[in-house]
Amino acid sequence: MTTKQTQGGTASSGGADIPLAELFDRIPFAARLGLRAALDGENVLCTMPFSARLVGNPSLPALHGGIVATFLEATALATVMHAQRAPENNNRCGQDIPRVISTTVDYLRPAGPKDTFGQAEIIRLGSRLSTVVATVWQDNRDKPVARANCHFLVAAQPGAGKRN
Amino acid sequence: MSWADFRGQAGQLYDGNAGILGELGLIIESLAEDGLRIRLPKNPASVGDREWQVVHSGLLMIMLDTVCGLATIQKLVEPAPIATLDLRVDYLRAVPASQDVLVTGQCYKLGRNVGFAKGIAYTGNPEDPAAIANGTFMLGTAGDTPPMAAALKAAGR
Repeated sequence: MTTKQTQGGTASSGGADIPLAELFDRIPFAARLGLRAALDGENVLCTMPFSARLVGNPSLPALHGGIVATFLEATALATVMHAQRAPENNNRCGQDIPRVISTTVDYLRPAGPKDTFGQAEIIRLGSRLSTVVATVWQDNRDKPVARANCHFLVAAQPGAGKRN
Repeated sequence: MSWADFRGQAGQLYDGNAGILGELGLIIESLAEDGLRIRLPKNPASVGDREWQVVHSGLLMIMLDTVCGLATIQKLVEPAPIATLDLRVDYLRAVPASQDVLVTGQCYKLGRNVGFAKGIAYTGNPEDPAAIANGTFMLGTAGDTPPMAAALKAAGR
């Protein structure tokens, strides 16, 4: 990982890549929530199958707000990692996990006890930072449950800067 | 049941809850009018990056949303359902998966319709925060009061 990309666009994070479908299996907490990532046309589509374990308030029942936030952030992450690969490797993604700097979630509708789907739009993919907007929905894509704005550090070199 | 009794019995947050809070085994460490603190025991399934062995950011968001919401409910005159309107989380440093995560929450403004709360996640030292959140909550939303709020009511809050 010696090449430093200075142009925006497909900044490769270096190292071997992995199938997109295996990404969340490699992230223990994402696997615990049952998250999945796949290609829908040219775009990454993420799925969070409903499970009673994801509920926050069982009396509604509604998915926990933190679970919805986690899925939004995971959708943004998968989309960034996919975009870091060259277009010819369309069903693959990098295996270096970008570090999230901040996430801001807007909750738009109650998230019911149903499967949830997510897609993200990369606002900017630079050499160090990426800004991504993720949207998640359930029954109707035009009625999103929540959206989030996420900033990722995409090309931090291990050992660069202070690490606690 | 007195407030002190409730605190003594609180033990596991949402004990017996079939949802995510029971799944994670979050523990209430302290509960007072001016805020609360919860603990997430370390767990290999909490890891977000195997190479670095750090806690997944989503767990921090789940804990921060939970404490901000509970801190807001605690301030209500009558326990009532609330809903997160927005939540902003800044990740200040990585959390080693070998440590328990502690999160404190405080509601610093309760309006007629909206409550404002903040949460701080850390490991050993509260002066070295790992993540900071600001949340806003709509008050008096539809549905039943969350179990925790019902418990607070039972405790005479």
